Amino acid sequence: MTFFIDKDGVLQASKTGELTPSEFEANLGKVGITYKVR
Amino acid sequence: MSEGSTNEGRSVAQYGVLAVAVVFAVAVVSYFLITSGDETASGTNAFGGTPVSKLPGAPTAFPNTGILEPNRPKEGERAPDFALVDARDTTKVHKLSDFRGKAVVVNWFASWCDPCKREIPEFQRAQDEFGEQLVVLGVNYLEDPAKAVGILDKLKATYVAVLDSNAAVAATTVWEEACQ
Repeated sequence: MTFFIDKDGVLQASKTGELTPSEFEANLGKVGITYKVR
Repeated sequence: MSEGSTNEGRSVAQYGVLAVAVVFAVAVVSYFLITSGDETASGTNAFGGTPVSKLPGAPTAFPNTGILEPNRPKEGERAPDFALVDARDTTKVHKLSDFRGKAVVVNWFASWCDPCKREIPEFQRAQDEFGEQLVVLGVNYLEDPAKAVGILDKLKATYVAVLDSNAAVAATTVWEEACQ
């Protein structure tokens, strides 16, 4: 289980089970982090 | 038998009774201390509703740790706070709210969890790339520090990791449904 929490402490996304690269990128984007999985 | 030896015998018997009473009292107090730890794990779980911390052989919680706000996390709302000990230094306690001001990725993991092992290296790459802007917080599920740190070391992960040693925090998430 993975939770994505923004800098204000608000839960923006969560994922049950294994994250795919695109989900990881998208959910990081929701907390203000622009990341590209290599 | 002389009066002196009678008194001596009585005195030995009294000490014996006192010793037994002390041992019994210590045993009773120890039993209650061990069995009456914080029980914040509640509700349904993968073990038929039995709180994980009450299962046979369940690890005990570290003091001053657990859920600080007992609501389930909901998207769009402030994440409920919790406090757990650092996996690498169990004298240190981290609260989720300590990381306010930074984006936080909270990931439950265990050394036996294969999906976790595939995710951890990517979390570390993101942590390395974003440094202070991002906190990846690994939350180990029901393992001792050696196992928790062992799998992180093996995967060269250095981000912050804490121990949910009696699953008190996991009980407020859907983790137990997530890694069946």
